[in-house]
Amino acid sequence: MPTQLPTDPSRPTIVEAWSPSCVACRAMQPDLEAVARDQPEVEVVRVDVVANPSWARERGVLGTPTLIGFRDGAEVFRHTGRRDRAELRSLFAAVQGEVDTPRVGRFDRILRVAAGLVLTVLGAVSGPTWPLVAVGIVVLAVGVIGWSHR
Amino acid sequence: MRFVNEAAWDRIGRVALGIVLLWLGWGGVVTGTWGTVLAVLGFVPLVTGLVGWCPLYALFRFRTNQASVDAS
Repeated sequence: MPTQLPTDPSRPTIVEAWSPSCVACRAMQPDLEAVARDQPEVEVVRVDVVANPSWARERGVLGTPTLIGFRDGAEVFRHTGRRDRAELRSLFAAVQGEVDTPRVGRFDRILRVAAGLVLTVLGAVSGPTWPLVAVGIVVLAVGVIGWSHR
Repeated sequence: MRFVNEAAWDRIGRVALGIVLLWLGWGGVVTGTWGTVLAVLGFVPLVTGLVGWCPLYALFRFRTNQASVDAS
């Protein structure tokens, strides 16, 4: 897998920002290589952030592994943390414009909305307790917006 | 999601526990030092339940959900 910085902006590219001490990077590597083999139309580039600190700074890479997808030279997604093979396939599809990037699941949304509602109602009827209401509204908003930690 | 290391029942339980602790702490059911402790401590199960990831599980390489299955 190439380790130089991406050069061809016209080609869908996934850049993996990694570091030699990153355990999650090493754990994800076999899956990344397997998916990359299956989808040669996507260029995969590994960039060692320790060896390329200026690149990491310019790109705002705050952790490893960070996967950054580029299509037509523009960044289309960025995810920090280890991904399993199924998620990597989704990202490879996303960088080619085939599907949206993975969003938070249905269960997560239902759990967050339900928790937010319970907290808000509980806070409203017991007092009202405004900190509880505030937390409930935040949790509810996170569920409704569908914010993903991925 | 590889990130998630909690099963659905685990997450629901944590969220429920978090809500109860927060209610006890913030709602004035428990007052004084214990109330403050509960008001703070309640966020731990709530957040870990909502996110689906427990740092202690990760530390001890434990998980209550099934390991990720290769989609291939």
